[in-house]
Amino acid sequence: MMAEGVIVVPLYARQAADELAGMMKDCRPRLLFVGDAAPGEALAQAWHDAPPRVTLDQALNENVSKAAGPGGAVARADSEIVTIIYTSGTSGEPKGVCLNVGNLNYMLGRTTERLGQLMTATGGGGPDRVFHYLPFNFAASWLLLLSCLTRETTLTLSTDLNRLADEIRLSSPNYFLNVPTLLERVRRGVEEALSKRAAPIQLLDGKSRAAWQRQKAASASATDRLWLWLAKKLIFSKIKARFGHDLRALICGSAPLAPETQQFFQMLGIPVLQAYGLTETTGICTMDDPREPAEPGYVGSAIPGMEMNVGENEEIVTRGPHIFPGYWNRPEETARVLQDGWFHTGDQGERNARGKWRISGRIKNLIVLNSGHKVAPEPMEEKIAGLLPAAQQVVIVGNGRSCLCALIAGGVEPVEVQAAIDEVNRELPHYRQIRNFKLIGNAFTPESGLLTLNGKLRRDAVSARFASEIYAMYEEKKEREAVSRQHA
Amino acid sequence: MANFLESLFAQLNRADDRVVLREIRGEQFLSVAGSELLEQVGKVRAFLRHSGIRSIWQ
Repeated sequence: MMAEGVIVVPLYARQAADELAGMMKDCRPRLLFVGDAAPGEALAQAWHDAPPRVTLDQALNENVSKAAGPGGAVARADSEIVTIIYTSGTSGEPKGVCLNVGNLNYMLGRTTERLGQLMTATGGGGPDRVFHYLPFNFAASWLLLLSCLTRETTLTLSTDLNRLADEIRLSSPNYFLNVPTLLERVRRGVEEALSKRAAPIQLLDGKSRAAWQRQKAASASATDRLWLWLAKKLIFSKIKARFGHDLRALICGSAPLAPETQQFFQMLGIPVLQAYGLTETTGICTMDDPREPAEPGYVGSAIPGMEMNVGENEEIVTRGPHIFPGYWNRPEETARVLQDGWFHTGDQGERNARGKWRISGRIKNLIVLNSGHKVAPEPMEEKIAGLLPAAQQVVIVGNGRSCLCALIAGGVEPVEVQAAIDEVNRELPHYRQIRNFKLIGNAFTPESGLLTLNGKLRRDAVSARFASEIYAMYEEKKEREAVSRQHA
Repeated sequence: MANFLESLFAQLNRADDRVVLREIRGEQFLSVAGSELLEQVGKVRAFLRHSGIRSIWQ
């Protein structure tokens, strides 16, 4: 479609029909391509003026003449828009990020080069075997698809997320793109399984972890090396085998990855290469270099050919050929984030002496779950507060975590809060549902430091003040899930 | 210099009968070779033209 000069807007069928309709109303497509009929039906319900929809099979089987146009790619100007990818804004309303030919020419040059370095640094051979399970409405996911089609690759697509482990083993990839949720789930699963194994295996696990820490600090003894050799034979190799026989690395982006999780995979002998970027930066600003060891907690160096600096309030700003030309039909929003050619990311970060970046926080309030989903908390907080008139304040948390939870202040009863949350959750997709809450008294006053003088919430202060309550909420949720797994 | 689409088409032409894309269906793979993918792309482009969907850039 892009070769035909058409602008493609990738959508995800699992998103709520109302949200999809909202995006389509914004960009007014002429035609809707669907994999099968079901999402099209739901969309037609949500938007009566939806464009005609066509399944891919229909398009492939329609008997039309092919003589009317060119068969290969056509010359395109750098400024021509090829795609609009919708991303959540701070208001919760998705914005269409336009990407043009110039953005893609530049970025695919960098990604294919980096993937080539990965394969060469880990023993060469080809074509690359790549597994893929993420939806193509994520910029990084879409970029990986184009990178694979541009390189000598066999790309294997998942069709059943419930069988992900089997699919990975069967496709035996050299590398694949991940969001932190999956890697953290794998780590938790392995640790749970090891805790149920016989005592000698548990002993070996504990000894090898300690030995690995000392090896990292260059203080490993001969005994440490023996523990690690044994663990590699008896534990690590078996975990690694679940990823097939030739896994070279895991690539991870979209949200912060816990340094402990990155270290866990390093210990198994599986490098995790992190990337950082936004849809507005054609998906990528930094990437780990596969030719050098990754530093846990860091997301690699800025890619060649672009600039990346720290601006006011430690905000990361960047400019270069990866910067998008603007939001679709939103000139004011574009002007707000693009100033003198610099794109203001809204993320805070710092660069170490080796040029590697660490993302330290978010200027904007958008919550980024470790699945990569972005959630604007304010509209949901307002809805819950509307159902709980006695609540003094509702604060949704979840940045870097697997799900959302809420802190509720004021004279409310747990049963009322649960009823309000259930009601709000009913209208929301799974990743935006609130999974636990905690009542925290009447803490919110300007004097408490939790509100500004004009009554606005100071989220960083709330997170710091209630760190233990937030931790407890997620622990309770984990325990509940563990109990329900045992009962299943 | 070739644009990204020209590079992609060139790679698919080189791939010819080598599998470039496959879906896992249970224990089986549903595979598409480079030449087959190019043929499918051609069909979808013809469908777009037939439907009156064309570039706004020309």
